[in-house]
Amino acid sequence: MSTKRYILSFIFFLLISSVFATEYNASFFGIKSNGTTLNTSSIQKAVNFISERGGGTLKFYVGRYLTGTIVLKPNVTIHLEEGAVLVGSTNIYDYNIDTPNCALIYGKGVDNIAIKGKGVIDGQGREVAYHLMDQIHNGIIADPLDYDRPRNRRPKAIYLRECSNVRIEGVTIRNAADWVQTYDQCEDIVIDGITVDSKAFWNNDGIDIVDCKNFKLLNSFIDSADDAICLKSHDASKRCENVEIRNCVARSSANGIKFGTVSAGGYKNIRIINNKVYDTFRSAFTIATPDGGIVEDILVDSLYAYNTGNPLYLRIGARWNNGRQGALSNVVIQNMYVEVAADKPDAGYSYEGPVEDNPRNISPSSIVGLKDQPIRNVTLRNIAFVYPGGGNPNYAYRGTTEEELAAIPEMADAYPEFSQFKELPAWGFYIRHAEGITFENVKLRAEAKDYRPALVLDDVKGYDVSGLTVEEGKNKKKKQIFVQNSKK
Amino acid sequence: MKRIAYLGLFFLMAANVQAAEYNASLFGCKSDGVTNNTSSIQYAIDFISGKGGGTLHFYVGRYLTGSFELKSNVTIELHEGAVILASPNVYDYLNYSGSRALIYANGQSNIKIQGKGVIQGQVPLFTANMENLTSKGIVRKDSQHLLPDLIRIENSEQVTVDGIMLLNGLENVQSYIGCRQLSLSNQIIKSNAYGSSTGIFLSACSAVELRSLYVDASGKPLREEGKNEIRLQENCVTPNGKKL
Repeated sequence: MSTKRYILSFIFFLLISSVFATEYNASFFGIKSNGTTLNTSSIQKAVNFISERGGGTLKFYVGRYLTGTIVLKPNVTIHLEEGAVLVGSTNIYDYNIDTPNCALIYGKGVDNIAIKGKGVIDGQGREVAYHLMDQIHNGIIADPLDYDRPRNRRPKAIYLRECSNVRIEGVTIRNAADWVQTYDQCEDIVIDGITVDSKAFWNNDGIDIVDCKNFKLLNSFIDSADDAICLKSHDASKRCENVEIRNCVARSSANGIKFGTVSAGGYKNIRIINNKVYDTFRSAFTIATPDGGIVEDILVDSLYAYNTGNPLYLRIGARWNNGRQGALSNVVIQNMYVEVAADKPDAGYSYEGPVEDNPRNISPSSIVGLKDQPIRNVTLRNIAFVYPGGGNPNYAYRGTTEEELAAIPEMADAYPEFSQFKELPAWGFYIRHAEGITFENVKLRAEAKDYRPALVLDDVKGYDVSGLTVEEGKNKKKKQIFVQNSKK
Repeated sequence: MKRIAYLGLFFLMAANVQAAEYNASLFGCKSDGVTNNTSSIQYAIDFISGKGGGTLHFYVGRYLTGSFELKSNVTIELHEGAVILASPNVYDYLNYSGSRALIYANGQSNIKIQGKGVIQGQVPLFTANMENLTSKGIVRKDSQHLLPDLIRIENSEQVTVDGIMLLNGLENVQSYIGCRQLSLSNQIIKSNAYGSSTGIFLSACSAVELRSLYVDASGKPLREEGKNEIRLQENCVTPNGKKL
């Protein structure tokens, strides 16, 4: 009897101790919270040690933990308690710059990892980029300096490649020198309740989901200098599949939610539900497939955008497609409300979006395929887009005659962006090279008179715009729909 | 040691080949919109002019600055997306012969500003600062002369401003006084933030050519003083489609 109880309690203690054993305080490994000690080696030792012991959690309590690149290992959770800040070193040589996609937190082929807690990861990206820039000018590091800024070796805050069972929860990620966080060819990822605040340097995408499978981005706030929420496809044999983006708020001096730009493989079964976008210089939602990627089965439901440069831009291009034909089909966009800004919506941002493609009046939403590759089956349901209107033909002019519409360049190999055609012939919606376009309860409103009509369809087969209502200032009699080379 | 010598040699060669083209970042200019780049830009222009001339390239980004002076044979190339952003602080502007300007030149020849970039004033911030200083009695009420032009060029020849977008000037967006062979082309001027803003001010200029200008200004699109010889004006319009 007593031996039995003894054995039971022994087992109980074993269990307890194994639970506790998996939690390690940072100080245990000599990691200093003083903000000045470079902790790279100690943190790496801790991660390796915990992983070798079968896994566990490395806990950081309040303080500033200066570090260079940390490589994640299987079954290790980094837990940043409230007040703990993982501070990226400003020395470019403290990062794994010999690896493509160097990052403050780096993982490749790792299973079961997590970053959790209410703490902060601060990449100090601007300072890192400036140090890198100096090294380039000194001739120590070779770099072509695209647009007078470093092309390579700018550290991301988080880069995970071919990782699985990943959870990122609660943390705030700030100030990367490049894309903030990239998940490339990863599977089974949940990112929940994070905050991204990064306007530190060029190309600060908030999050890049690249060729991932079973990915959830939930309940997060993303404020970034470049595209806020971005799906990409770098590998022609891979694609993004089963991705859900839900209950997020995004602010960006580029696009709010974007597919692309690099779209080699494509995207399938992507659900974007109940998100808000504001102060975006470019489009609230855009899909661009210029590199041969196949895009299909996309649902956007309940997307609200305020003070944005453009509501919607869907585009097939032929840029780096190597003979493969990109495709874009079966897109449902419903319950979407957008207010387009009259002035620059991202004014005051660090790294504001570039003033470009001028002269141009306010650009319409666009769906633009290619001559031999139409965008297929797009349904717009319960939509209201509000534009400022006021397009002035003396500033920029594009008419609606056959010649004028035909003169709009295809720009198949150009970088796809809502403004790329400069002036377009509609103030609300321009659709070219498409098949199966349905407008159900779609409202387009221009606050002031515009010289252009609301909608231009050019080379569209199978369209139904009977559900469209248009309002333009006090203008009641104007012909608002122009159709060329198109069939219902 | 040998490696360093080679490296040095390489840079000498590279420097020779590219002698005429300079990136703004080489002089420490920052495109972050918050760093005041005045000294770096002025040093770059003086340096390039001292080397016999060349082009200073600004790529996409916002380059905050106060007054700087153009020098002979120096071209400022503003690539698409580059913004020269005028400081909102009146003390960042130098007093040039009684007038102030963001970009100034006097007695120079062969000077150019070109590209699809932007030169942008920050009128509401600037005027708010001025009102603050006036209310404290630091600046007198009749302080119109303190308002800087975005561009002011005096007594210079072979002056070209091509393709630039000029946004939100104060009294004068650009002023040219006593210039010869002045060419303004492909500009978009939008200046409505200040009560009465002149798009182009000309005084005693000769051999002036105006091509493809769109001038949307709260004041006069073109104001002339004294005798100017405008040799050519083509395709220049205001928002209502009228000639300048």
